[in-house]
Amino acid sequence: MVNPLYIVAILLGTGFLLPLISKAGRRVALTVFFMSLIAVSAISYQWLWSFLFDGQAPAMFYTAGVEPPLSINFLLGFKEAIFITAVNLIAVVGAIYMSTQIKETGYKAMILFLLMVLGLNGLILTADIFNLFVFLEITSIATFSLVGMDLKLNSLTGGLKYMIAGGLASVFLLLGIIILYSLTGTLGIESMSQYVLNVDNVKLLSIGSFLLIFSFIIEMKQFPSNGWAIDAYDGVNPGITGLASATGTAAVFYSLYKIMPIVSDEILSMIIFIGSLTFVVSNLMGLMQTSPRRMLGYSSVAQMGLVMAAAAWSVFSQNEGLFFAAVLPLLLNHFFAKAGLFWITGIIKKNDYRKWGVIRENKVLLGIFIVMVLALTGMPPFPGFWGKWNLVLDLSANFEFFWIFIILLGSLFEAGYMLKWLGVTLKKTYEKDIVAYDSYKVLAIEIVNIMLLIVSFYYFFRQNHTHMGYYLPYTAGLALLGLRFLPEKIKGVLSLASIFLYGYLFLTHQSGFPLFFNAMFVFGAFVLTIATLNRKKKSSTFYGLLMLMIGSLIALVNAENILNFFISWEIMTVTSYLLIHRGRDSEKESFSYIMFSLGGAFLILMGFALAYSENPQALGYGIFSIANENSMTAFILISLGFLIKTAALGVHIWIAGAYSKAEDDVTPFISALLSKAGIFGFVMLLLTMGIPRTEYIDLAYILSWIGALTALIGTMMAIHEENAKRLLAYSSMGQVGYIILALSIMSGLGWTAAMFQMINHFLIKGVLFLAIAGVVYRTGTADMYKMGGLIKKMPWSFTAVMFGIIAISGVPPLTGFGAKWLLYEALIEKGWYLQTGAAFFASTVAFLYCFRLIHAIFLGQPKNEFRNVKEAPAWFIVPQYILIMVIFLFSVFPKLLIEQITRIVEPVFGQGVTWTDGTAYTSLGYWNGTTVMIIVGTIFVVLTAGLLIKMPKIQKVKQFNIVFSAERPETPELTHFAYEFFRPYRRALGWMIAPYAKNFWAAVSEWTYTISDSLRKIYTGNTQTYIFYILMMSVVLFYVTVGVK
Amino acid sequence: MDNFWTTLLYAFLSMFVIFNYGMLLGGVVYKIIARVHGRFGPPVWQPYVNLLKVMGVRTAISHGLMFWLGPVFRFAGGIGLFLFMPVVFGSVWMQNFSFSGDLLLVIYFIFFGQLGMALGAAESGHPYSPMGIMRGLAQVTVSEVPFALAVIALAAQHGTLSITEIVAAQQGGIGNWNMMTNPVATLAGMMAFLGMMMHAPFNLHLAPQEIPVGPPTEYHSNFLGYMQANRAFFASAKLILFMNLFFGGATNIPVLVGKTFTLYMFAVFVGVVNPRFTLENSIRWFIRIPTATGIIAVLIYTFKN
Repeated sequence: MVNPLYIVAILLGTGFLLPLISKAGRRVALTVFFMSLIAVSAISYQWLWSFLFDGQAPAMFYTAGVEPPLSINFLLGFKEAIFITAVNLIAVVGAIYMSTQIKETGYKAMILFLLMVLGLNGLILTADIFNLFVFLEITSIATFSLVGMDLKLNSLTGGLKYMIAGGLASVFLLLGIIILYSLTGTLGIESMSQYVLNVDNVKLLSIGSFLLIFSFIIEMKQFPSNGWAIDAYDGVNPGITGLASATGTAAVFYSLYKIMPIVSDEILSMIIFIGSLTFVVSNLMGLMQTSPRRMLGYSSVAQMGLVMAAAAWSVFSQNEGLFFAAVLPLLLNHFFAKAGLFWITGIIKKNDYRKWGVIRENKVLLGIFIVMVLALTGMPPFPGFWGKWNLVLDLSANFEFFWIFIILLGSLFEAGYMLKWLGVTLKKTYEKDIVAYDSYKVLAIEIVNIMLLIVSFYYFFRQNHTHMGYYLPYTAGLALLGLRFLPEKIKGVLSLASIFLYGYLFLTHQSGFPLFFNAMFVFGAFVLTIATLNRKKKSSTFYGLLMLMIGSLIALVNAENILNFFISWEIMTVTSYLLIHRGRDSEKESFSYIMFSLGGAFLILMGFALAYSENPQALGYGIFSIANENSMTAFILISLGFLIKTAALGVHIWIAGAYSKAEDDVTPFISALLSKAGIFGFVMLLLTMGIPRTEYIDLAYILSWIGALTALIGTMMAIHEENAKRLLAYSSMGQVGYIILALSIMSGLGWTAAMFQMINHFLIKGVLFLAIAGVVYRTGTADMYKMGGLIKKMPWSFTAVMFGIIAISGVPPLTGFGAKWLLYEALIEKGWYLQTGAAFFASTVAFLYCFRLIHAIFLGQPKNEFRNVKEAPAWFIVPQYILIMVIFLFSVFPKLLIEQITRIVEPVFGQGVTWTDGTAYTSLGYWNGTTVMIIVGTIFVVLTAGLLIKMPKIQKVKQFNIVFSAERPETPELTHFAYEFFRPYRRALGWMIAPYAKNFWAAVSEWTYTISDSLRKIYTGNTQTYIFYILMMSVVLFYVTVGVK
Repeated sequence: MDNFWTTLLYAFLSMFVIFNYGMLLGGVVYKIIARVHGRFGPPVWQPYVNLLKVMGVRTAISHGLMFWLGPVFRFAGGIGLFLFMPVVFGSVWMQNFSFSGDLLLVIYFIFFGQLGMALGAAESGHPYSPMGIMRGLAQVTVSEVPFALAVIALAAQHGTLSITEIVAAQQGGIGNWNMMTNPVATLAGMMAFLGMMMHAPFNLHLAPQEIPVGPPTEYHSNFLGYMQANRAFFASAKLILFMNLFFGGATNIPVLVGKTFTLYMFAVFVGVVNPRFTLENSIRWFIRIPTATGIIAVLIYTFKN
């Protein structure tokens, strides 16, 4: 094992020798420079390896045989090894990134770089507090000088601000060290943390500790003392910024962590408070940013706050495991992603994030960009997710729920501006610009990306899960992303094959509700994917994303515990967002979708945390069955999250935009399959927790009204839509409202109704959205008033839509009636009569939009431009009719479906429906779907036959051959009564659909942006102001924490 | 098998009886309206004459398959509605196919005919057809609200959704009729009844007969014949439904005739003296007092249980 002091020796020695070596030429100097960095990395890596695999113990090193502070004192343990390896590796990569610049500037830059790396290593390794100060100074000086290296005005001003703040921090640090040394008589960090316990002069001790910590608060750029930091991030060369943000932060953080045991619990609490506050406030301020570098600056500051707070918490609660479980992944996540992103800004030099579309020219960079942004927003499988998850669970085991809320709030803000950046980058048109792709820079970024992926991979599989439901469903999607060069049809067929395979693999291992949902997802995904084979345009990501989304659905129903559930939930959210985002002009709508979805996901996480707090050992669903005083809150939070997914009333404003703007063959997936994920969540929640009630509040009753009103209002909004997809979106909202209503009944009959309605809705929406997709494909528009009279040219689509609307409106003899029958019987049996009335009203109003859909598109007169449309392609028609055949099967033999449903519902709730031959009986009434179908069919046939037999001479007339009021219309447009079809309804009942929810959410976002905007104004750009803030903050903080005594 | 053929035979018999009843009812109503207006009016057998005339017309125009199917749907709706109801309580041959489904089936089946008609007429390509349809649909849907609430109140009261059982519970004298035992629900139901029978003031979508638009104008010959025949069935079926639900049902045909006739007269008399509502007005009207009555009817049973 190489003595770590060689790290110092190599770096220092090379630095001294470089002026001499450079006489031999630039290239020689550069080679030596790199070799020294690589050597240092090799040393750190050797130590890391021996800690990981050879059971190495921490070791102490001294120089010159003398005790510190006259010499250097290094302690190299496992944590130190991790940190120096990470720092040195990034240093090498950073050097690659800046190699062009370094070559230009010459050996002076190299020396400073080496010095900086030396300082960083020293910070991490030192065991002596005065050494710490020295190494901090070395790092700072080197960094300042590197910052000013390119002699640009922005760099120099940023560097100056950095230097002044750093100088102030050094002052505080030195004062603190002096005080503590005078009290404890030692400078060794570990011994100091023991001696402080015996100090008498507590007041002086607290002053000393405070000064010590405050200097680090400045160094870690915490709010509100960090204006200079943001300006520095903004102005300085991104190569340095990336390096500083990653390595500088890591090293400074680790030194802070080392001295945390010295200070008292009050000061630790102060650190936690400042860190968390910074996390929220900084991310909030990031929302209004337009400059990517400033955004990344705010994000860096925020992440540091979070990491700092988490570390302080782990010391406070004496939980060392938390460091490895939460702090380290969060830090590494930030480490790699920030370096990468800052370095990308060094290539794409646009100062306005809206101009970043140009990155799409380079697919590699685009891919890396997406990966890193997703990592920063805390998505699985990246380390940031694991960090947050473990932190949240630990906090919940200690009942610190307020901090969980703070962390999630900050995360939501961060996701806001990151995803806005991502969304705009993926879509907006950009000016073609010459971007200089320095190959070294790109190489460096690629290396960082690979490191991030390796670390993610490690954390993902560290969870000790061999259950194939954990990772297998994602393999098809990842494979398809890798095989992106294949032709579309091949990828489509591969997708179909993998869905089939998943069905075979997973369906054989399940039972009960998961099996039911899994079967629906697999079958639905298979049929709906057939329609995607129509795609002509080549896309490298479509099938990959689609299969990832389908995979996440399968993983969801196979999840064994809340961790797996949440991972698949998040992956489903992200992939569906990316899919929806592919639609034309969809930025606003997809952003609204992801923000609502993430908000819902965080609510679910909070609910999980609450339930976990009572039983902190287990992660299985069993934690919900333990009733305690937190149960109700947990239930409310989790069900709110699921309600957001199902677009219940109040949180529904995203649905119409998301469904209509997504690509036409994607919307069937979202409507038929994805909304059922929310239902699955509800089912599992209700099965494990039931619905809590107190003396005064019955949540089941409230939930039933949410469902009933969602059904009613959704349906009422649908009838006024001009766009076919928006109409169907609101229709989906309404239909899923029925399912929630049925679930809340919590009886055998109610759940039978819920599952029946779910299958019904899934089949019908598949048919309708596919049919509309076909129509839109041929006509190029989804606005119904532009269409009309398409029945002659698109008879198959028409018939499919006709069956679809008969089924959805609940008219016998199709399955829709069965669903309604079950629902009303269940509701009346339960005694919820008013909800029945509301549901009934919704059902009759549904009739209206059904008619509007089919009439405006297919009946009447075709417009001239559509006179020659062709029928929708077979790729759309075939899956529609497969689904219709299933609908007919269940219409003629409803017993087939209901019996399967009874099998899974009965063990939980008892029997709902009993059978005598073909007639279904409930406590209230009866229904025989088969005979109804036979009777209706017979009447129909007889009447038609009668007409045929006794028909007079029929003259068929062409479609436009019409006369009315002795008038012949000139153009078909004059005859199409479709626009504002239900204007009388709007006049009479428009008050029901006033945009309360939309206005509410608009106000929420307005307020957030306003607060963000006014907050960031404190950063005036004036260095003196910043210094003033620092000093003010020190005074206030001191008074609040220490000075009170 | 034997059972099946018998049921079928009985169904035909009852259809025959009701068909004639419906036609005659229509004729009588024409006469009464005319007399109220101070005219003599057509003879009571006028509907038969109309039907025969229309069926005998030798030419017709068709706009396509859906156009064809419109009247078929409508007629099937009317016949189906009738066949799914028990007609005379306790009678062997007037039960039809009511074993197929309960009250919910009947209520939803009312929409079956409407839907088909809507599709068929819209297929004609004439722009005013959908206008008439929109008005008709909009009104029917909103008039269903108080009706549904009344039905729910009945179901809550009797604990069943089977029409036969509801009728059974009303036997034993006028005091047992739901009109007496559940007056609020009956009130709501009768207000909905006005909307469903489509006499003034709720006949906006039929108004097109004065202006030449709407399904009755687009269809001719056998198509129109189907629709006219359907009137007989549909009207009678609805009357029988209301009789069964609120007025004690009927144990023999004369009682059936008497009760349904009186019921229908209620709608006719209201219609004869009232002008027509516009669509917004009828929607608003239904959403206010009738719905409120229905809600009260339901609330009574919510708190009773």
